[in-house]
Amino acid sequence: MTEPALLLADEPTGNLDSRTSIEIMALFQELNDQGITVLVVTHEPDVARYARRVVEMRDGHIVRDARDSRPGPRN
Amino acid sequence: MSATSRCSNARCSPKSTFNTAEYAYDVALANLKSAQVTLEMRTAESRLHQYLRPIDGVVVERDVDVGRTVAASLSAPQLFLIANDLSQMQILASVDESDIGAIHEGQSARFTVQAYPNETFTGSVKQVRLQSKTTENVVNYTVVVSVSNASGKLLPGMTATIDFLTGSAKDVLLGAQRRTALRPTEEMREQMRKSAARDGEIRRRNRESGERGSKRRRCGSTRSCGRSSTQPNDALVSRRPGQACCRARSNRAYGWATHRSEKRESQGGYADHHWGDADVTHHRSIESLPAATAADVTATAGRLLKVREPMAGEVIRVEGVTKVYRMGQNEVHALRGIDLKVESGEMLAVMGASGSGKSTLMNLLGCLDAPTSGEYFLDGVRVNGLGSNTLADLRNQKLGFIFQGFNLLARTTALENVELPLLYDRTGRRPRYTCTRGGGVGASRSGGTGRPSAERALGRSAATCRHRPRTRDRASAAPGR
Repeated sequence: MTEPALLLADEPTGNLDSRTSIEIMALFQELNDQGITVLVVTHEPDVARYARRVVEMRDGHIVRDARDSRPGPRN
Repeated sequence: MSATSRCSNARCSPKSTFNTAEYAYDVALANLKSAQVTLEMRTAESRLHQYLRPIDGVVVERDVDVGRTVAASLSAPQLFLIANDLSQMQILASVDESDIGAIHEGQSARFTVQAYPNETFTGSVKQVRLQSKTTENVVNYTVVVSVSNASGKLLPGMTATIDFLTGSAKDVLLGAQRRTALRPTEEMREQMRKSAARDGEIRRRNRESGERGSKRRRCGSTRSCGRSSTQPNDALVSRRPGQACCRARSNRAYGWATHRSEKRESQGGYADHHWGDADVTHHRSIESLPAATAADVTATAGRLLKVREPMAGEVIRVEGVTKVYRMGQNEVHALRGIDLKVESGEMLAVMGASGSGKSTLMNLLGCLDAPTSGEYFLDGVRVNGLGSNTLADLRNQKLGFIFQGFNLLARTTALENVELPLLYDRTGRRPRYTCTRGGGVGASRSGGTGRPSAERALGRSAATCRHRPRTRDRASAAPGR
């Protein structure tokens, strides 16, 4: 059905408890493995850890753009 | 007779009135005496006793000043708020019902407070209160966590974010999670293509030599996979990894299905993770597929690998984008020149405090808002200057949204929310009604609102509704379909 090229999520775990947050982020990872590009906007470092690339913004500028090429989870 | 008349003439009272007055006087005198005795007694007592109201602790709040009259008659006034011992504090944590089962007294807990973001405090569960509170359809219980505050850093009323330790293990081997989700290298793919072609060849040969039926035999082609089976040879061939994956794709079993596909199906040992994700119903449908030719199998495998590979190209290219909002006389510069490229297949997190412009950026990327200046290309399409209908189509076909509040439609079931983007779709794709967990109005489904929202973003009612069921589905209490 709809096969979005890009999945945008604005604070997807904002109102969820931690276990459901993990489920949702695992869902994103799984979709990403299917080839769907996923962009998550968040203020929680825990959530950002699930991503392979983290762009940090401050006052309308991009101040950091870090990619993780390691195979394991970051941290 | 004469005396009576004399008395009435002098207007004197009868004797009974006099007696009454005299009696009242005596009573009053006795009362006075009694009160005097009580006074003497109390005075003597007060000399012997000392009245104290011992209060120990730290004054957190003082509501009266010295010299002020305290009126105690109306209600008990609060004079001071005194904390008994600030070195022993407690946290009242709200824990929702899906997690409360894992919490018990004596359990240790870790928490952070916003005042010290880099410090982790510890405590232990003292009490799980039985009274529930329902906020926004979520049932919460209060858990009291006792905390030692010897350092005095924790202050009354702070907000704590708390983690309860539900389990721990020592001396275990840790491995990176992503190591189990392997992406095949070019070498592995080549091996797979070869093996797919070889299987087709073997099957054709078998067919030519009339070797069919269900006799127990070792599959001739597969010294590498080394399996044996009592099934017809055709069925075996049709369960090559290439097709197994193909069926996973065609059925859109996106990995929620059980990992029940067996090792004997895997090729060279590496394919388990990828091909092992279809469930048993799909499995059967595959077995009944007619046998394909070698070329077909190879082509399927090839097509499949193409899908697995991240598509080349940029999904997002943003060049020098600025966004200025006008609020009355003031200009708010939400974005001050953003350059961003996102390749297809990336997983990207945009971090930032509130006011950093991240939500503005997301609105621009989602074609919900237009930049003040700069260029934005979405999947190769220049977004600037497109009409609103074109933008709506672009959003429908290229973008999936998951919002913070989830923006699910109220008074609509979860299933209808998932279907919604398909109704607006002009390419004629229609939903399949295979959702097993529909029902529940809007956000009332268990597991929060995130799932229907994610499902809607993908428009995949068939695949994504097959989530692992949770302990209790709140949808059962909602008006069902």
